[in-house]
Amino acid sequence: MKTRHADVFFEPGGVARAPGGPRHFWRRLLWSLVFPRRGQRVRLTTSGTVLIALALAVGLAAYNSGNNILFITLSLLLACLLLSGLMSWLNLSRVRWRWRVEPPLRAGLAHPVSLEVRNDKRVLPAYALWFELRSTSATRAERLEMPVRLDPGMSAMLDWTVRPAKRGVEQLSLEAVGSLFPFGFLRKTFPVELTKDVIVWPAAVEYRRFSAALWERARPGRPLSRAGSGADLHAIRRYERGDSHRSIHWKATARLRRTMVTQRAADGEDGYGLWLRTPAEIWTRPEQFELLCGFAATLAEDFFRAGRLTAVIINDEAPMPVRRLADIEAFLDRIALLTPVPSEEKRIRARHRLAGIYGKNLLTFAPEGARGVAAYVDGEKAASA
Amino acid sequence: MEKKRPRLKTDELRQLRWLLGGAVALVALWAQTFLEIGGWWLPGVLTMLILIALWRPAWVAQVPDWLHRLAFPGIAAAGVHAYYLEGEWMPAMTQVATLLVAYRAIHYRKRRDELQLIVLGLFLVVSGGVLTNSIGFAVQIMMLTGLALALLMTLTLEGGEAPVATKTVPTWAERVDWFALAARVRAVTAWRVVATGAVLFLSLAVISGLLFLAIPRFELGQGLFLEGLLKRKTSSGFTDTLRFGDVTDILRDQSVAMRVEVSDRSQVPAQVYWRMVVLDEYRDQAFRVSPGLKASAFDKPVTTREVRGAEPPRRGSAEWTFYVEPSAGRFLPLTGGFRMLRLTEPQNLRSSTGLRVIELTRDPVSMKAFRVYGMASVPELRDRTFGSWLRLNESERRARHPNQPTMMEVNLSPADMTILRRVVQEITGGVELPAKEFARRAQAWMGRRHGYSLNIELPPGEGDPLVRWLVSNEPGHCEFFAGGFALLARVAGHPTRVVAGFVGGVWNGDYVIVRNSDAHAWCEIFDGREYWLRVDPTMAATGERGRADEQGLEGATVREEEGGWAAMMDRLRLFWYRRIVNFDERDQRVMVSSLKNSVQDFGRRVEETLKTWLAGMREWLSQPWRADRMSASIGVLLAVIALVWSWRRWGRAAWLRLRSKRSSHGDAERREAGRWLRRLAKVENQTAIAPVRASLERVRYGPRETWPRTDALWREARKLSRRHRL
Repeated sequence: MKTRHADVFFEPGGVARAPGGPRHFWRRLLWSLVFPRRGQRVRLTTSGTVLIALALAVGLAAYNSGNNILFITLSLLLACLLLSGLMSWLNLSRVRWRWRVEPPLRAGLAHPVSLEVRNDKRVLPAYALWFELRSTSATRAERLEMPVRLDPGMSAMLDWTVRPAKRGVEQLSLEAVGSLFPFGFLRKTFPVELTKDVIVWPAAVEYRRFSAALWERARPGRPLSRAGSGADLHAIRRYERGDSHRSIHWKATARLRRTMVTQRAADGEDGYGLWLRTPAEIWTRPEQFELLCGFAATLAEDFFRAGRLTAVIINDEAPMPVRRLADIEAFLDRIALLTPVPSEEKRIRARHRLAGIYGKNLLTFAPEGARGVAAYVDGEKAASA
Repeated sequence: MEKKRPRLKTDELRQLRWLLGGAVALVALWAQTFLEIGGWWLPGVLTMLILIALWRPAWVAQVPDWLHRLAFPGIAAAGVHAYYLEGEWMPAMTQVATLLVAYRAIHYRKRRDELQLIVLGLFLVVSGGVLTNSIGFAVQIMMLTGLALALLMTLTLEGGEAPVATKTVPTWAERVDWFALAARVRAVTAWRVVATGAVLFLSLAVISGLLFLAIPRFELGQGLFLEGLLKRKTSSGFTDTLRFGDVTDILRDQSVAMRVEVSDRSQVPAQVYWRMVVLDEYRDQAFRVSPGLKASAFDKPVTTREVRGAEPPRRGSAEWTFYVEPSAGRFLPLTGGFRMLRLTEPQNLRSSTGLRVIELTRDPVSMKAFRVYGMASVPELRDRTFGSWLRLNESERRARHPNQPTMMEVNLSPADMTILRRVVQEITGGVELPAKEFARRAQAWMGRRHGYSLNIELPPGEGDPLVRWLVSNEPGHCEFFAGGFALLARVAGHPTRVVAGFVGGVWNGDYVIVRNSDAHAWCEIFDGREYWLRVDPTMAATGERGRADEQGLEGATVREEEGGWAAMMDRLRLFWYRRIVNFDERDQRVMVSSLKNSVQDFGRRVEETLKTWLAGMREWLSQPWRADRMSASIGVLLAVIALVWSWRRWGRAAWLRLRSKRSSHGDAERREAGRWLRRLAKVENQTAIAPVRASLERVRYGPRETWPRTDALWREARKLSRRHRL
């Protein structure tokens, strides 16, 4: 069972039950004993092997001799094995876990993620658990050890570091929970399959700028007669989904009995529009395409940081104005998942639309040679990576 | 919020592990002392060493390196030396295991060393238990199990392996303050965890007990292999040679020689003689079993669990169950002939039907239990074969059984023979008397001349000491009385033999305890036809009932109950023997059968109760329905309906409120609200149930002060549930 809930606690049997819900303690215990979960691994440790060998030897001697002292010893050894299983089950029962990941993740950079483990038992602590974790970029699973004891009702954060290799979706998965508790006879591993998909932004790339005049173009200053984020009133229009509540014009709303918002005039030639086209016919080389994504993301971030990115558009999609941090993050999320698209036809129409809105300062990209990527402003080469 | 408890540091866990390992070693050494191999000095010295190492672990690093290098060769050499001295495997193996356990206990241990310590400790405890059947085993194995499991758990919690060096003091051992550690462990441990641990350990004992009862029993082999590795010399028991003073030594031993259960107490005679060995030859101042008697009377040794006797089956005869301690020797105690004897496990033994004696070929090292069916407890033993053989002339006797003794041989000097003939003349008056009459007169004669005492001073002079005592007036004990009587009877021409064993005993609850101090010797004289008559010459000095004023001989009477702690502990020991050591497939069958019977009885009782109830109901219904009956029935029905309705309307809500008041969070009512919310979540039109849902959510999650009346809320929720057919 694959589960992708972000903030829900999980336990070996899947999603943890709601607090106060039915417990079915004995039913669950019996069922888990009768029908262990698929993938559950139980391996003998050295002490377990010694115990089994001892039980066999003592059993053989007991049946050979009929001596009850040996039968007592045999039954005690078997009882130890049973008690070990019971305590191990008790140890793991009502222990829950969930991922704690704070985006963004960026390709090539180490990023801390946490596994929150909580012991919901009322009386008994949980001891000596380990968690086997894997990410898409990792070649093998890593093991995180829980501190010796987790008291009832307490939580512990187990820190892990992920270094995504490339942009896209990085899947973090908790594959198994294991323990040697209580006596170390058996190395028990329970399959969990708790996964979390995290978007990884492209890695930042180094690029070279050309033509300083181009970079000096878009300076804020003169108000323009088109919509923007300036201080002067440009127009009043009907409210549309996504408009800020702060822009509601209350007087007009009361008068017209419908929600109206103000449109501000643009403050000047206030920045660049970024148009990222990914036709498969142009971006035939995967590594060049990856460089394109990284380059576009880096430029977008740099322009946003400088306050000069006004809008972005990807292929034939509607332009996305960039006003807040969330806008640029959404754009980077999109870049993270971007793939070459087959057709170029619609993109021409979109270009005309974008050109209609912004007129100039449109940043576009094109392959440069076999490996490089160049950025153009209004058709003039501005940077290359 | 619960106060956060501290955690033990890794060094503290290692200190705890050191302590637990030492405790495991001490328990193992304690078990080793039960085997009584190699004396007390070795366990004593090793215990001291372990205690020192436990108290100051840092001192272990002071042990020179060459000593560590020599440790294993030295231990192996000690094992070889023990084998060379004793000629047996068991003492050598035990010595090696003991030394290894001690070495591991005073040595910084790795994970595998801890395992070795536990396995060796288990070996010592189990071999001690197997070879002694002692009740102490139960205590030792439970202690060892608890300590070993705690040690293994500490290892698990500790996690990774720490580097171990013999010469440098590890950090955990540098400063050890056991009192501080105890305080830390106390601070770390919650009482609820301790209680749960205790319950789990108790459940371990219960589970192992159930497994012990349920493990199917069947035999694969022949006898116990471990027992063959150890030959124990009995310290106080009977052997086939009885020297003067042997019984006296046993008399001073107050330990228990055997315990006897009898299925029918009324069949225990007032005076019981537990026969063990029959001695026919007097030579070198000792009575012994002659080679001729061994050859003629005993069968060849066999390994068996069952011995068939010559006694005919008798209806209502009791079952006698004996639990004989190893100190009693290799002969099995019997009161007389028997129909069948069954041991708990196969033993190598030889038996004599005529003598009614069974001898194990090895001295036992552990308690032996056996059950005897159809055993006679009479003073006369029938022996037709001996009588018919005796009536033959000399040449015919030698032709049939050339080595069989006539029980009339007296190997004494002519001077001693002259003295004995003079005494016999004095007793009989020169008349040839029947055996019974001779015995009576000889007893009387001895009673007149000798008192009873354990402190013997033989008169000085020449000749056989027994003859010298016989003609003196010195007091004597049972060996002298029995030996003297046997010589007189033989000189008088009556076949006579000396029997050694125990007399009497003490009832302790439903069984008889016979101590080593009840050891005794008496005679059996042949009546000339077919019976051996029991004669106890010592009685002449102690009185007809066998009560003695002299300390040391309590007589043959089985005395009344013992009391006090010692008796209670002895009952516990017998319980151990009965239910644990002696438990076999027969008991298992009986247990299963009784369980089955109990279940069937219970089922029958339930069925009968139901039938009775149904019959009563039918009868009640068939009676004419008059107005008073009708009204009473309707009244009861209405009362029940009212009760159910009241419970559903107010009772359950009140019960939940009561439970909630006990908890500051109102858990019971919150849970009830959660249950209703989950049920109402299935309703499609959630808008219709929104108010009730909001109230339920307030009870489920909100502060108590904002709650609505919960009983009304439950009613509303029930109505909605009914309306939407949930």
